[in-house]
Amino acid sequence: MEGVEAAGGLREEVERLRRDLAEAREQQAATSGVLAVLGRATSDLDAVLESVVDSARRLCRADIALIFLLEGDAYRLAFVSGDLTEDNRTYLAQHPLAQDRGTLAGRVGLERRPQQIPDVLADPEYGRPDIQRHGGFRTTMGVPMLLDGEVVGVLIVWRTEVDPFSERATELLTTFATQAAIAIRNVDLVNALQARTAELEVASRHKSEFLASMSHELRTPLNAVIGFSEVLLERMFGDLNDRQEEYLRDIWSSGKHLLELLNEILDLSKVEAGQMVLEPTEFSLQEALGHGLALVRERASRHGIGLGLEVAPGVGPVRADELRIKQVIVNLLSNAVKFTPDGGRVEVRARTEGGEVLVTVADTGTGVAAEDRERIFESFQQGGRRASTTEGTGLGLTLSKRIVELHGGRIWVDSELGVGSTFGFAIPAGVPATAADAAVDDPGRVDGERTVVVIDDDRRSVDLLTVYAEAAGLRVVSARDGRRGVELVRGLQPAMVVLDILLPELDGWQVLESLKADPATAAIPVVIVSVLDERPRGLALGAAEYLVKPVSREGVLDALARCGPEATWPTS
Amino acid sequence: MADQLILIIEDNERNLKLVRDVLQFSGFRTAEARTAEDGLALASASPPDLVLLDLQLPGIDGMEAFRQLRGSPPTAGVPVVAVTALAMKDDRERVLRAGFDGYLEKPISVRELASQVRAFLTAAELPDDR
Repeated sequence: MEGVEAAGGLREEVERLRRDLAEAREQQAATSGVLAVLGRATSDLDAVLESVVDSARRLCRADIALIFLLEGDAYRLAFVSGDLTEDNRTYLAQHPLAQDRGTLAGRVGLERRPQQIPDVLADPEYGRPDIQRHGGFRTTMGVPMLLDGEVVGVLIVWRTEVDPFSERATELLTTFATQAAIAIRNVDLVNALQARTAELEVASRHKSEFLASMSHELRTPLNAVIGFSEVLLERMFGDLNDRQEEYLRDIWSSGKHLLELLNEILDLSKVEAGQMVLEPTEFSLQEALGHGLALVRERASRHGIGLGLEVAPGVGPVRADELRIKQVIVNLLSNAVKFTPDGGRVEVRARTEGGEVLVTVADTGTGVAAEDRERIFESFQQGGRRASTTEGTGLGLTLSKRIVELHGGRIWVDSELGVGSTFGFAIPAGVPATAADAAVDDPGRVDGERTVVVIDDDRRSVDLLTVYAEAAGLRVVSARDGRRGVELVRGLQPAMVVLDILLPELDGWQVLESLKADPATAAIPVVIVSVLDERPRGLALGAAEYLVKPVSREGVLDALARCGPEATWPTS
Repeated sequence: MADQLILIIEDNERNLKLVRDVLQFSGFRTAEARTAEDGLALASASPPDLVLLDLQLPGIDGMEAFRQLRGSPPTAGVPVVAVTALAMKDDRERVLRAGFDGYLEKPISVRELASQVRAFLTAAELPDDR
């Protein structure tokens, strides 16, 4: 007998454990369900809170679960799970509960901890029989939803029979209330963040618009200042004495300086607003450095400053935004000349290293103190290098840093006070993946029949010709110097070539001669577009057409049509 | 050649004066308008040899003025050069796509203005098959 009783007890024990385990599993599943919703729908609070009331009702084995949120000084029904008629639901929603002991919600809010009323009809303090009638509950339990110690709402479960909730149900409900509170906080944070972001976007747009219109407003009078000083300096309306000329030059260069400053402010605001778009092309770094040196040569020689340029072998063309990189080079060079005392030296070096092109500008100037070396790249900082003759804008290095970073590169300074500074920047060498390189390896890949090679070192001419040719359904590949141009034509076998005469490396005449001398390229029609009016010479050397710059749209289209591939030309 | 008439449409008094005086100094005749409306009226009354058209004008803007010049028989063949403070590549392309005969960027170069205008006039005289 004892054995049988023991076996019965054991069976009950096993059964109880099995039930507990199943329950625990179910709770775990529900909790992770709520957590999943919580993580997914940060902006969809309703989904989270609905999932909370559903799980609370199921796991506490309640008939109805509800969330009341504190609005003003009363609790208002926000979510319900369970079998409640539409009428009753509406009644509850329309009758907020006061913060007093007359309801469970009020009591939970006052006590700030879980509360239970085992039988509402037997509770002497309960003061809302109307709510009880419409809710139809007898036993009710609730826990506060706390945010930073403040009650923001109450999570409540009801049973229609008198059947008090267990300790375990209280714990569960507390877990859910905590999750609901977190969800509310997350949504508040997300909403606040979105509102702030929207405000910032509006502010940033206003700033950009303001700068754009300011820049126009400031430019217009500046153009007059610069233009009229030029008129006088050109002596269009009479001679000048030395003093007058000197002052006019001061007016003119101050105007130019202001214009530069304006452009830098505008560029910088464009970078900050993420609106600066790079226009990468392939160009010769050596020439860009030469261009920069040419611009500072006059000032350097006035101050007896020696200039040097050393480009290591292996520094080929780079692919980057030519105008922007030139801007960086000019900025570093003019700083170096500005901060180098009379009789000093500025050395420019370029080399490639680990897939990058490095450019350094070393001066024998005043140097930059260690504590200023980071700061100097931030807006309106000039370190301690504020010489009395300084007219730097304080924006140049900031802008240079942004430009280099847009190219995926970096900029730095090494310096010793009193000895000099070396500013350097590195950008990816960007092994030029041009159509020409592809064509040399695999000539079949590029459709030479629809391609025009434009050989011109003037960006504006290339832009213009590109627009015209693209309108005619052609693809344009451009080269900035004669040597590169000949390589491109050999590699691409284009339908035609548009050739400028005044070019770096090989000039247009040499390009024309070498194309006509090579059987592989002799048959490709060449249209010369140049400021030089030397039509007979061009035609004698084998050019198919000769246009003098500036060219009209019709002139170009007509020449393309007569010399180019048999294509369907738009009749304009 | 020396008596070619250039119509300057520009709303800023001083910039207008600058361009006018430099062109007159170089031997051009000039006509001037401060709004697109006035410019259009002047152009159709006595068509100039070339129009220098500022793009940012009050009222009718430069682009619209250009369309009206091209759309009206007396001025349809007159070359039009945009004068613009906008120097972005997109703006340049927009101007050229619209069919302007060229563009000048502000600040204009006093030293080069006359030769630029002469070059635009020469380009416009090139025979075409229109």
